[in-house]
Amino acid sequence: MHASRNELLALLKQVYEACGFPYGLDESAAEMTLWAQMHGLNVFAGLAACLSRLQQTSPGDQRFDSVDEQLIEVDANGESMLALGSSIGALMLANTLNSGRCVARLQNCRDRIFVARILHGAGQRNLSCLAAWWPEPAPGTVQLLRTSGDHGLVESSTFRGFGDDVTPPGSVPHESAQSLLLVYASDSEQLKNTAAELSLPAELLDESAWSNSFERIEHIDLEQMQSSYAEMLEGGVPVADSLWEIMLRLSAKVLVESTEISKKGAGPAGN
Amino acid sequence: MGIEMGTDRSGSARLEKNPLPLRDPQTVMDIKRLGSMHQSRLSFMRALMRKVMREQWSIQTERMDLDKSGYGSVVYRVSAGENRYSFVAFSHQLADAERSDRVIAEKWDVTLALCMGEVDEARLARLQANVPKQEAGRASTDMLVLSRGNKSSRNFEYVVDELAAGRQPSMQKLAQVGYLYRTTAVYGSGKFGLADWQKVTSQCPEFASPFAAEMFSCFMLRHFSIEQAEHLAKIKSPSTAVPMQDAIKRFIGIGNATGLGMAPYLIRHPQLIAQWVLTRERAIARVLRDGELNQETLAEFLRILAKAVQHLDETMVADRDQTDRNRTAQQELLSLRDWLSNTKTTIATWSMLSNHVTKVASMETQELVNSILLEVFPDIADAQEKYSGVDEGLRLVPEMLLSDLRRLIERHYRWALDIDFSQASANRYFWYRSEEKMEPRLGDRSNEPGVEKEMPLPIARLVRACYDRLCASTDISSSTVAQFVAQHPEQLGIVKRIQGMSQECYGEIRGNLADEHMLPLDLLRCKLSFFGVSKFDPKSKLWVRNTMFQGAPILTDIGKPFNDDWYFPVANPDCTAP
Repeated sequence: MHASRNELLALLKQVYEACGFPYGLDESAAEMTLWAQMHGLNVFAGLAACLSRLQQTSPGDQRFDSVDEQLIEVDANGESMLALGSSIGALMLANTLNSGRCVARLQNCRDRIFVARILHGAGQRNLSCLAAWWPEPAPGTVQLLRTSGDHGLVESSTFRGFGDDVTPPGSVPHESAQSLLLVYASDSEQLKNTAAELSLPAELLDESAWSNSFERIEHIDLEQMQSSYAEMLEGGVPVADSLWEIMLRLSAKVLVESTEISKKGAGPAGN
Repeated sequence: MGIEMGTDRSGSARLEKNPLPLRDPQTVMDIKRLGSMHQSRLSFMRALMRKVMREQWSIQTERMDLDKSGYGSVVYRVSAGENRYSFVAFSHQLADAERSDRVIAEKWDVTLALCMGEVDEARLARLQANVPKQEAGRASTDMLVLSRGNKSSRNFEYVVDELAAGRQPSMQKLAQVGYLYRTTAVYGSGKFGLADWQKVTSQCPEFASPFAAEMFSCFMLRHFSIEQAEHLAKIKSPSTAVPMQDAIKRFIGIGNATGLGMAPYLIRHPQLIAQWVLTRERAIARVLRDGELNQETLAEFLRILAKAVQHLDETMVADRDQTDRNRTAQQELLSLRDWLSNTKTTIATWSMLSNHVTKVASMETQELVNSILLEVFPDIADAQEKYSGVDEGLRLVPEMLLSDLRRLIERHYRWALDIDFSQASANRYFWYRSEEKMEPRLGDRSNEPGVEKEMPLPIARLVRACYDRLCASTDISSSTVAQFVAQHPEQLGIVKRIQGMSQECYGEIRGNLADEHMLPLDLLRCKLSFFGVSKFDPKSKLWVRNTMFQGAPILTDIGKPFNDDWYFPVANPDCTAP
């Protein structure tokens, strides 16, 4: 089936509310989900599993081990980026605007792909940002999201070429810890410098540094993201029937049973 | 008068070269005043009709497939600018006992869709499979509006009988209930799979203003209702039936029943509301500042005032409070007329009149006078008509210091801080969504279940809680909002709202939506006045009937001279058949 953007946004908001997300966080999570899906990141593929986990925990359990102007360390305790994203994004943004750059290292953080919308928000404030992590099913690869171009748009790449061992390149955190590296900077030059200081492979940010052994195995560029969004706005967002059912069932948890008394809470039936 | 443009970030108001005295938001956004507002020439259906008439939209009946009982389907083809649209109506049999205005109803006399492009047989079949089911069916992104309506039991049969007998329906009778059908829900902007607003604005310029597609659908239902009545009259008595006179057609509007579903919208879209109110307030302020008071404009004011008095006189509602308010407004308008005739040589400006009305008249009359003033100066008012796009996202400003956030609250939300939430009466009600079609309902906190699922609509209470949490924070002068929401993620929503809405002149409704004295009706009426409805007819404090498009042009008027003078519709006895 196909659903409209507005319809999905309202439904997702209710879904996250049903998962215990408080006022504000529910909307933020809904926007993160829909933004990623409509820009071609196909987060709906894993959303059912994600929602299943979210029902087991309530948001707000993350621990900010260390917060200073340029480095934030967070043990997310297995929490989803959907719950954590708003807080971490706000801290990164505030710190970067104040001191020119900020790095965050997150451990035990799930659903990292949803950070895309957070990067987009920072990009809209004219910051240059990246997120990198080590996707578990594909050792030797690095997933990278980075802001690029105008309007804070984000592009997504998956790189291979760091060998088949399980050692992540540079400071890209290891998957076993469900880790994520976030770098925000006031401009692209500052971002590159910071990435170099963190020993991130130059290939991640600079195409001219690519070697034969290095391969970009997947890439969604700005144009593809924009056309994906336009296509879904035009024809609706494809949603698997099974996922739709799950979302409807979950969202119903925020509804109150209808009784004869409650019916009067919206006035009598009229003719 | 309180603030001037430029002192706050208030949309395009900031672009004003000369500061324009606007009314204080404390005055304008007071919930009781919002519940006293009237339609004006800036209302959405007025703006839509001007557009239809100016651009001479072509509306043709493409298919009329009604049986002898009036059931079946009708397709109207709409040519507007470069675009083509189709308005589709499915008429159904409905037992009287099944007819309900509530959103929880599952059957209706008519179900409707406004579609982009043409409707061929295959598409009509798809629509027929879904539109009659309304929320239970699926719309698609080539559809703009999904709606439904019910017959007015009182009027429909009467009109059919009169036309069948070769008589015209009585205008006096129509003045009591001025419609044949009532809409009970009109969905747009992406609901149930419909085209998203972003698509509408980019591909359908004809409907790229607030609720234009929804209003147009109501306008088309009005046309359908008359055509259906004429069709049935002809079947009933082919030899004697007559078509309805145009003047009577114009006096027939479309009814509307609005319940609590409209209230959450006003709270959830504060930036949109801010723009609507600002547009109206800016027009009023311009009229008061720039409108010349001379014999001509004064005469026009008095002419419209007299029409408003007659309109109120013909407005028959069962609700005692509304009846009292209408009668008071009538009296106050007449007193104003007398005051003007006694003192007109000493009144130099419209501001003087406005100040006088503010001192001596009820809110209902004050807002009526504002609507009348906008009619006296159509050029000034209509210049404000274009509602610019609103980027509705309320964004967090994480780098803001907590001390600055506290100052924002103290400056812009003093009205919320002044509410004493320790009183039980201030927390009497809670808003929730029912499992029955997600209908918004109001529950009594003391004895109804569902409080844990309360919707975050009482903004004042949320502001208070945020403020208290802020004041309890240490390092308020050095900590940022980012740190605050990281520690208190449950405050994210209200902090974003406070930061965002502090940039707007208007938008926050100044009232406690959980208070036992709160009247949801006030919220409904506010929005309905922006739509442009008339004849508010409260059925309880929770829902209201009203009339849309009464007095508006009919399809055969398109292409003819148009004066846009269909406000305050009144029965014209000359049109009544002997």
